[in-house]
Amino acid sequence: MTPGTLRLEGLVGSHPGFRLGPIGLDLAPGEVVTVLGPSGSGKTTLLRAVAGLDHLLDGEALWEGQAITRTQPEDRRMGYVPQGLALFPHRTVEQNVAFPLLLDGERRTGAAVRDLLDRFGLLPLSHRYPRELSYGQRQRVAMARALASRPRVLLWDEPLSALDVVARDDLIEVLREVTGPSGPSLLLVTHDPSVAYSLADRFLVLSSGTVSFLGTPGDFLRSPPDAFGARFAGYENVWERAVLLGEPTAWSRTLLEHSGPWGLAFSASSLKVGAGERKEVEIACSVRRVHWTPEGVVVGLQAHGHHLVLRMPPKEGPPAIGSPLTVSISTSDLHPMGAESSGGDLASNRP
Amino acid sequence: MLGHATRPRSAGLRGISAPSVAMVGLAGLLVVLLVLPLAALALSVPPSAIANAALDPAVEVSLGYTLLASGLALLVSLGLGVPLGYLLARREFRGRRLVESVVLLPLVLPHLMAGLALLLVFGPDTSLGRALAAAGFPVWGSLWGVVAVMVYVSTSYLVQASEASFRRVDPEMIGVARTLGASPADAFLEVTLPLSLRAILGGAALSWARALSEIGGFLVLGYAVYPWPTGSHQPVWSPLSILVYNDYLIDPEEAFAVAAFLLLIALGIFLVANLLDLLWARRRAPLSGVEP
Repeated sequence: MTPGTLRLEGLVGSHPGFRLGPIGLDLAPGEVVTVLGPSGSGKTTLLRAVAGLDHLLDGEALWEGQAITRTQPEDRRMGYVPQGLALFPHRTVEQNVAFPLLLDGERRTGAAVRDLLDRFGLLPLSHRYPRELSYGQRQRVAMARALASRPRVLLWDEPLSALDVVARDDLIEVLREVTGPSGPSLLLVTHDPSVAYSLADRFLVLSSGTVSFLGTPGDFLRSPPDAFGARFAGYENVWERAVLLGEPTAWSRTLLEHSGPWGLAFSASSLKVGAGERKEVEIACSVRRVHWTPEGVVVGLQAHGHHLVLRMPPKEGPPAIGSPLTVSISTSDLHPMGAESSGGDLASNRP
Repeated sequence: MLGHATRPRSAGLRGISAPSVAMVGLAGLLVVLLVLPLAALALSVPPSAIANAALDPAVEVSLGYTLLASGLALLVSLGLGVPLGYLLARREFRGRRLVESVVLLPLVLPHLMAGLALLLVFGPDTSLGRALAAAGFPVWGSLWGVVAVMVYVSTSYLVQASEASFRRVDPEMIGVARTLGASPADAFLEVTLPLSLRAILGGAALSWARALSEIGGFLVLGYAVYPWPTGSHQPVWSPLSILVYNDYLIDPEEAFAVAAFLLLIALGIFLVANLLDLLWARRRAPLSGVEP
């Protein structure tokens, strides 16, 4: 196996009332895999299982081909940062970051710690206690501390949540520097699409404890795994297959032909006002509501009791509420949900 | 009720509601009831009598005895109580709730009954009592008996404080310490213990104070340590509480003087403990592992 590779084989974990897995994944050296999924889908359970903090029911975790499933957390070198950060409140910023080195017997804070403090902009705060820091500063301390342990893999649970856009973009830059080909690989849980798209080489989507998608962001956008994935991808119009099956119109039959096992999704801006050409689907609607955004006019539509969202360019005037409106969409803009676009990646994730 | 919700807070009397006044009155009454007997004790004894009590050889011997016995009892309580507190806080096992209840039992037992119960286990006619006596630790009528009573009646406070403080440390923090390279022992010494220490020491102080104030159990298990009543105020290797009780039966004035001296010592310890706690709190702010 390639040096620096983490492999998960049929990993099955559990919490009371919840079962995770089986999970299969090869994490290449320096690769960033973003773990997505609705609340309660098992994202944190997966990170804790890889960190060795939770008991596994089945499966193996392998580092460079060697099983580490029964290796104690302190010997795995997995840099885990939980959502709550778990900073040590009785230690200063510097002492928090130096914690892994102190355990190694390095009694003095070394150049490595100072370098990390500097990289995360923490040098001026090094003698403060966690309670004296803002949440964003604490997030940076937690990241620096995890890196101080010279981890093989970083396991980060929502590391950039609750940050303003500028602070988040700054940290994304730092994360790009510390990961990458020569750095540790990263398994990153996030709810923030901009973080996910900025950093991820691949997406892993969990749904009720199992993997519903594993592939590149491009594959994900072409064919999101389910309604959650479609929303995360930014598609405002999400039609589940069961809904389309119950609709007797010509346009719904055309949509059904292009849908995946879970239905289809498309963006509000891919809908056009007016009749379409040969390859387009026409839908007769009425206007429910209208509001303005910097990107244009967002129009809420209703078609046979179903809701649609249309985004019109700002230069076009908004239609009157209650007026009829025909919209069309090219079949090439339809994204089937749940189509296996990720090749064999999902094969090892079947129960 | 809407009026209450919108009424601005006022620092003056107009902003204080009738229930608030009643609550402050009741709280004040309790504080007075707690302080009044102590103030009466301190004021009823002339300072010269307190000074005499402090220099009294009988008091000094008993004070030394009490400090030694309570110190030994505290060491035993720490050695046994902190691990039990940790287990109760951190491990799920069958019968955990039963053990928690058993730990609380000495708090609800009448003190004399605790002494009688211990006598049935450690008494001179029991096999355990004989075995311990043969090993050089006779429990009945000895310092060891007094230590045993003190441990029995006081450890619950320490176990409770330890359990509560360990429970407050975020388990996620321990998990993260492990992923950063800490063994379970490292994680305990570097994270759990520093975060729990203040509360454990608070429990230890409470436990120690309870041991110092014990008398009921001594009267049964440690009876022979004091040839009661002696008929005179003599230096005897015995607990202070027994000395004060005996003095009260024979010479109440002497008892009040010794009691006032003890009150001064207790207040001194209380002030020093609070000062240390305040300094600690300023140096390291959060008590628990929970992030603010």
